[in-house]
Amino acid sequence: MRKKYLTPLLFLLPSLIIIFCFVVFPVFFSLYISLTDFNVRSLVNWGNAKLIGLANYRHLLHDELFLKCIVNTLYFVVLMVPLVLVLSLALALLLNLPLIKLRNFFRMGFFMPYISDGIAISTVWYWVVSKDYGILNHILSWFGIKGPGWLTDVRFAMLAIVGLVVWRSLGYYAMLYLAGLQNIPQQLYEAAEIDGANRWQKIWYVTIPLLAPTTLFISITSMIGGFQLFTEPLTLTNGGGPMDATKTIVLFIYENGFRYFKMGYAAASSYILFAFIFIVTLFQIKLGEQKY
Amino acid sequence: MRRSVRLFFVLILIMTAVFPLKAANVQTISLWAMGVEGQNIGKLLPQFEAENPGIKVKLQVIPWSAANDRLLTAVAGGTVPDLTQMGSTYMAQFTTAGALEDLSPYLAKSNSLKLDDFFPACRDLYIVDGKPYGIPWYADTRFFFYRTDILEEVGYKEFPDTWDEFIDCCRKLRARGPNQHAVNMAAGNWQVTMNFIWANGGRIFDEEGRPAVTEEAFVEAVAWLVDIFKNEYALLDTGGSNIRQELANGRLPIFIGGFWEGNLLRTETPHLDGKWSIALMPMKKSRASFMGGCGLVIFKRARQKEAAWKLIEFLSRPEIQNQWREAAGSIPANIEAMAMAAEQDPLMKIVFEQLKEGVAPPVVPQWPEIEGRLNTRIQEACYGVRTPLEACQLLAKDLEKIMADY
Repeated sequence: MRKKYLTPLLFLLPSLIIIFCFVVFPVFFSLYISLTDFNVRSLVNWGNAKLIGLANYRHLLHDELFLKCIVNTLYFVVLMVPLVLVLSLALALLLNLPLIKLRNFFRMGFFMPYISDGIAISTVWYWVVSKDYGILNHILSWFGIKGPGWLTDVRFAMLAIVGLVVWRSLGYYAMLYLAGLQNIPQQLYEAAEIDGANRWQKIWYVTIPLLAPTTLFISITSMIGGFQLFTEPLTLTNGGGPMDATKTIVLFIYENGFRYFKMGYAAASSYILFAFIFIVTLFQIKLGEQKY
Repeated sequence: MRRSVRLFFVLILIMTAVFPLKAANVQTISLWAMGVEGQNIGKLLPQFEAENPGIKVKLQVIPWSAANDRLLTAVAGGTVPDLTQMGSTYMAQFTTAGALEDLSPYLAKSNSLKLDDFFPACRDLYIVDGKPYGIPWYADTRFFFYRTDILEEVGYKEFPDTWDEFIDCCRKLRARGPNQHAVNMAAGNWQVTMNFIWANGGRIFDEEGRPAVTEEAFVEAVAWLVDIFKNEYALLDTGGSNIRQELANGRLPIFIGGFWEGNLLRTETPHLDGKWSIALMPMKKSRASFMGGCGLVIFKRARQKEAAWKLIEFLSRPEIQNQWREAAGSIPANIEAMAMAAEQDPLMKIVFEQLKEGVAPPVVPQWPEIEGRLNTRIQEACYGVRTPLEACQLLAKDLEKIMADY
């Protein structure tokens, strides 16, 4: 009986060791750190950190900047997730049309931003949205609209970042939808046609309901990704500018942890982020189960 | 049998790959350098290695944007280099952490290097609690760069000497046309904005270390800055160009920058040669300008401290400092090197004057965090989201909280 478990366990040992060292241990260690005042004084001599209980969490709830970061992040997620869902579905439907020539070329083109490096994509996007020399404002000027400073106006900075993230992830999510579309049996469309459904009715009553599992998956992954927004504001708006309008929770954690070296404080804020993601995901899964 | 022989050879091969035979008496020191310095330091190293046959230098270049975190994580993880370039504003953080070696014993032994060889204001940046933790490498302060031809067109043969003249000059430059402005400066960069606050007598902390940002001199200077943006002498968004391009096309014929910008101007916009110059900060109560630069420090956990110190001695020699100025376009920290430079570069006279007025930001371990709030709050005032007084009051509250947190 014992031997039955020993052999597979031995085979799993290498990966178990890695998981323990780089996942399990750091998770519990950071939980402990979040209860201490680990800061720059403890950098060399870790013994200088004192246990302070839940003080970090209490401070966080009164830290205006942290609350602002939460609001910014939620604002971003609420805008980004529906946009990603609608646009990637539309794109997948278009790419699935048999009449499009060069279909593979288009599929690859939309996928390109996703596999490109985040910093490189941010730089390209910077050229698109920059105020006086950007393509976007140039196009707007054809219609007599004077475009704003997308990255320096508090009202538009987050929108510019939403645009970047949507553009970047669109190709990937459209691929997932395409795979979902391929799984829908042709007979269902034929049956709908016999019932006299037109093209829109077929999409609305056949395609979209049958894509529900894909939609659930995409909404969860894009939302989790959205909560972890970091590289885009770091490169595009210089770490959360103008006036912290694009500062996200992860940027806040990064600044506190690696620039100010308030590791205790940073660890506590990452646990709050974890709670956020956990609750929202749970809610989404429950919602998904109920409906489908 | 044959198999075990083969295995034996494979083992030997692996062993030699993993443990290379150490050449006797050759020490390798690791050096970290940032940005422009990292790109150019390689030009000086062959000479050092030729003079010290027993020492090899392994250089690693780090971008400025990642410098602070890389150094901090290296200290936390115990993977520090032997020698690194360290920004003057980082010093407090690293000495508080207890990561840096006190260099006084090395200075006492050295017969080529004395602290008195350096500019006092520059030297003091690396002295914390009376102990020298770093040797100044190069000095850095801010100047006005301007287009001599364009300013002359609006009646300024010389760069404005006082704040009033400066505003008058800005007004005339702005009047050149709807898309013409005066000065290129970022509202959210304390290395630019603090110069004017200091010049007006403002300060961040008072003698007791309490926030002093609501003092009249501070608020008044912020209000003065706000007007520069309100009148569109300066732009909140320059639209994605760099300051040298804007200087070249004349839309913003003045900018505030460090001395290295001169080198970049010569290489990026050679057609402007002879049409630009640098100027002192205009006079208010003083001509204050941010005093910074970089020093060379040795970490406590470094392995090759003696060899690293030899490299510091080498880089501090006057003639090497002068060569360094030519290579990287930075201001030498060594007084003798400065005198050499003054003979070769007429702009050095202005540099010399401006350095005397240099003001260093407070030396506190919380500085990186203070810096961030300073940028945000002054930006809020310049954008007109808050009045200058409101912004300063909020800043005072931020600072109190930051200082209490440690």
